[in-house]
Amino acid sequence: MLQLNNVCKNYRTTEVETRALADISFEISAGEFVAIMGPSGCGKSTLLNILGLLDQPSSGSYRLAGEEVAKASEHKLTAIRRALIGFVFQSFNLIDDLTVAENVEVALIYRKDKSRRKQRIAEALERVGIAHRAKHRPQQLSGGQQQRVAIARALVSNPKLILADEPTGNLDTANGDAVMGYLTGAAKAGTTVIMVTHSLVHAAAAQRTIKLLDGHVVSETKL
Amino acid sequence: MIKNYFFVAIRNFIRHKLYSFIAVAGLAFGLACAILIGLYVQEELSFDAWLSDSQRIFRVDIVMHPQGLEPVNLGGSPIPLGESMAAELPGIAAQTHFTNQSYTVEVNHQRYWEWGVAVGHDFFNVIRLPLVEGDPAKVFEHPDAVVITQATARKYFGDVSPIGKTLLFDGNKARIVTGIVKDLPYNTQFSGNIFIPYQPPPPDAGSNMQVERDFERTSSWIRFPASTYVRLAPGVSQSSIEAQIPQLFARHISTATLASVASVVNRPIKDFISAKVVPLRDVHLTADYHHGMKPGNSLTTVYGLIAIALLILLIAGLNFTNLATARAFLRSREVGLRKAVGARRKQLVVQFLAESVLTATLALVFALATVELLLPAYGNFLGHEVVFDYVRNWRFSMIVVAGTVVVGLLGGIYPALVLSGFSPAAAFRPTAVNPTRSAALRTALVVIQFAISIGLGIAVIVMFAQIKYARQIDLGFNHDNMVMLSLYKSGLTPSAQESLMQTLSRSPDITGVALSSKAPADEGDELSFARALGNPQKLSVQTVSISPGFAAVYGMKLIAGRMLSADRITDRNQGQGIEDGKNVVVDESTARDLGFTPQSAVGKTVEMVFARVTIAGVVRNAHFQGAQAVATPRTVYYYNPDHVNRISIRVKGGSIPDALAVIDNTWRRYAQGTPIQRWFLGDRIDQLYANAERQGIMLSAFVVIAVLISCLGLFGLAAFTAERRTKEIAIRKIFGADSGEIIRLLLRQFTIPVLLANLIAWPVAYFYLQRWLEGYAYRIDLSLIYFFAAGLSALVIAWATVIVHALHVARKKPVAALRYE
Ligand SMILES: Nc1ncnc2c1ncn2[C@@H]1O[C@H](COP(=O)(O)OP(=O)(O)O)[C@@H](O)[C@H]1O
Ligand SMILES: [Mg+2]
Repeated sequence: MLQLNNVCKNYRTTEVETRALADISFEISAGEFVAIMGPSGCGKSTLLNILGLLDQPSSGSYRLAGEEVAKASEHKLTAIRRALIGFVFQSFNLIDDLTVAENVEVALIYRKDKSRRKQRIAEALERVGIAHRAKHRPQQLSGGQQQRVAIARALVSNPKLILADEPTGNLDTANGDAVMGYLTGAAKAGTTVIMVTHSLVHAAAAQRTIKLLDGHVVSETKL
Repeated sequence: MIKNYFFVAIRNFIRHKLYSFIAVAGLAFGLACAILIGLYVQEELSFDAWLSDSQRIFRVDIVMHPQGLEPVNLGGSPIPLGESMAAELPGIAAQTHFTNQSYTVEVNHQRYWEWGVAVGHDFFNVIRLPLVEGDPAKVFEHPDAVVITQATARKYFGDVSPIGKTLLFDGNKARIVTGIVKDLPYNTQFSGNIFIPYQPPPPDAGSNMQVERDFERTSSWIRFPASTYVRLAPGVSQSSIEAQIPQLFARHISTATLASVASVVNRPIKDFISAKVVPLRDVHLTADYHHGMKPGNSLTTVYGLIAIALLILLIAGLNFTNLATARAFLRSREVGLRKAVGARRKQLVVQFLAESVLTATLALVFALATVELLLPAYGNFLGHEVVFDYVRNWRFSMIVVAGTVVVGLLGGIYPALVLSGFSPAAAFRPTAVNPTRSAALRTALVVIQFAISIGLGIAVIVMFAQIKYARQIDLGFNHDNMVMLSLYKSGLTPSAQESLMQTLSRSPDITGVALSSKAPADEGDELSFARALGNPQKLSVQTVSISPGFAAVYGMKLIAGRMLSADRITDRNQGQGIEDGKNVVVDESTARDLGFTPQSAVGKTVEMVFARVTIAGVVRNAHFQGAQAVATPRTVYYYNPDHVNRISIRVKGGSIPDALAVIDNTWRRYAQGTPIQRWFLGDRIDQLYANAERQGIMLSAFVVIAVLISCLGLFGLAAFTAERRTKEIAIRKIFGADSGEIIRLLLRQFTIPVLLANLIAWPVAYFYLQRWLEGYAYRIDLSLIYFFAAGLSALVIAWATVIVHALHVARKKPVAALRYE
């Protein structure tokens, strides 16, 4: 599915240069469920952003679905993101002005994928048990409900790859477990899932765990 | 953490600075515009109000009611009217009149052409124009007196006092300066540099027949060259005076005179004549006709300008409301905190209103500075100095301050209510309250602003289209390279005039010369009536005396019959007007309105005021007053060498300076010492349109400002929205939206209000412009193109305003946007 080779990422501000990622290389095959762990500031989000084509590596190579994308154009990245990837964030990142259903729809409208749109949204909401709230606004929902909406949004387009950055970080145990359930389910159905987490329990649900420290991969454990 | 707070504070500061700047700048522009308009309006409304007793003084205008025709406002009155009113009607405390004249004045062997007025004896007692020297009651004790203005005195005598000095009028009449009028301000209907006492003309020595003398005596009652003013005694009403005037005329017009005008006045004189007694202060804005006075203005223009000022203030005020409401939601935490520590809603409302009024006051300071900067240019443009003296014009100053406070209060009230309504819990919510309702309101406000701008924009486009159209209309005569000379008081006999014309036409630089009683664009009418024999339908017509070559020199086309000829005795009139039994040429519209085709009109007999004439030919219509005039011109041309005031000289385009030299030299040879009065006809024609063009420019300047203020508001709103939607846009980008889609999304948000604004503006603009155009005899159709042009421009301007923000946001990396959430 994807393959990183000596990926580095430097952040340059006016005074300091931070090396967020150093010589990262690994490979993830299709349908794998991978957890990424490490202390705060070690580069997890940076790695996920690069994997999700929201950012580009300073050097190194990144092959996604057989294509080299490390130096691809913004236009190309957008197109690939649109076609392949779904995201889940720690802070939900729903659009306040849109209803729950419209939020889910956001993942579809830019794919120019018009077929059965209404039905697919309804199905996705059904899957995460939030269909009865389709007309509500995010502000009217609890944190756990909001994250379900975010999951529904990530799932509705049937992406090949789901990237989840601490999806349970803001949730209580029960809601966190539910979210893990949906992600595991997606992985079982053949979607590649890469998830950042601080929870060993949730990491245990993955087939493989990559540990980061100061921008380096320090260990990989495979179940 | 502290660093973060610091950044947030800085960012907020910059953000608020932008909003404050926009609100202040918008309102400052708006106020500056309103003040400039206000100063102009104030001046237009103050005409002659400064003259003492002005509220008791009235101008008397006579209106004629020919049977079967629209009433004709003659814009003047008979010279003896005032005296007769004072003698015969109760309640007339004083009266005076003036007639316009021009004369040559000789001082120190220099001769000048001057515009002057011959005034009634009591003129300076009734119309109290300030005299710097001389006693208003005594300046005209002697009939050979003259009163001049300060500027004229300076021109003639420099710094030497002119009192007691002699001026030679028209080379033969000596007058002694007895008074000096302070130079007149702009806001008076009275103009003129020289005032002489009116004297009735000596009886015509040539006429010894009793009938003729009798006619002379009473015919002064059927001529209307005077402007008559009366001071009414306290308690006397305008209408009671108006009611008595028809009878006054009936008493004074003799049966002999009446008989001679029977073809027009075939009804009792009291049904034929009415009077309009207009308060002195209203003359400038209501009288539709002013012989030789300062051109009047109309109430419509004044009200229109007031409306524009209010609309611009409304736009600026809406900016205020809009931005403050937008900002309100950024301040929800502040409000929550204040409430949590015990502030009451009322206190908060007062706090926010005070802020708003303070901001408006700041805007006023900038507005006043702007006004000071613009006043010289504004005065230049209007053609007279405009000043804003805060102390002496304290009433206006008060209005400005009060208006500013009102705008501040009205603009601030809604945001204050919204803001103060936030619950204390708002302080502790992670994100600010959802402002859906106020977002809808903001959109509505933008719609109103753009509706106003678009409406005004359409008005400007249509106005200029109409002006352009009017200027392109074929006037029916050619005024290119036409040089005009006045023969007024030249002392030339008809045969000398003829010979002057022949001499000029022999110059190789001159292609044609003609004589006429009146030139295109000249002021004043020679009104008459015409009726085809056997047809009761009567027409009012203009009459012009022309030399036979006139039509050829002016390039006017003959449609039927023939032109007048110098060789035919029946084409040639004597005396001052048209004689019985002579031939005339009429224009197309006269022929048509008499009930003929151009061809059938030839040979027909027409009854006119003093004569029965025969139509010899029909020419195309010529719009001598430009294509602005409301009425269709109907002109009857006759040939009377004794009735000539103008020479029209067509010069060769390539040799204008040579031609002018020839004209000046020839004039000197013929006109023994009378200074030449010469002008280009094209300039006078341009002047006919100057007023409309100036109004068009004024309107478009204000529209540009209205649009500018709207855009300022839109810019602020777009900045606000872009910021507020940063997160949304990042999310959309993450899920696959590209920059183009994001830009479209943002533009769409501002497209809909502009489209809605068009929906409102179009019908309103259509309604008003349709009515405005009806005032023009020759007018454009209200084509949809004007509306589309304005609407599309508004859309493009709105897009251009928003696109900066849209591009900025669309290019932002989505992760960066979400990082600080
Ligand atoms: N846009 C950025 N500019 C500068 N430094 C950044 C930026 N994004 C991340 N960093 C730095 O890169 C390092 C890794 O950050 P991040 O990937 O967010 O860590 P994690 O998600 O593991 O907590 C941190 O030291 C962080 O300060
Ligand atoms: Mg992180």
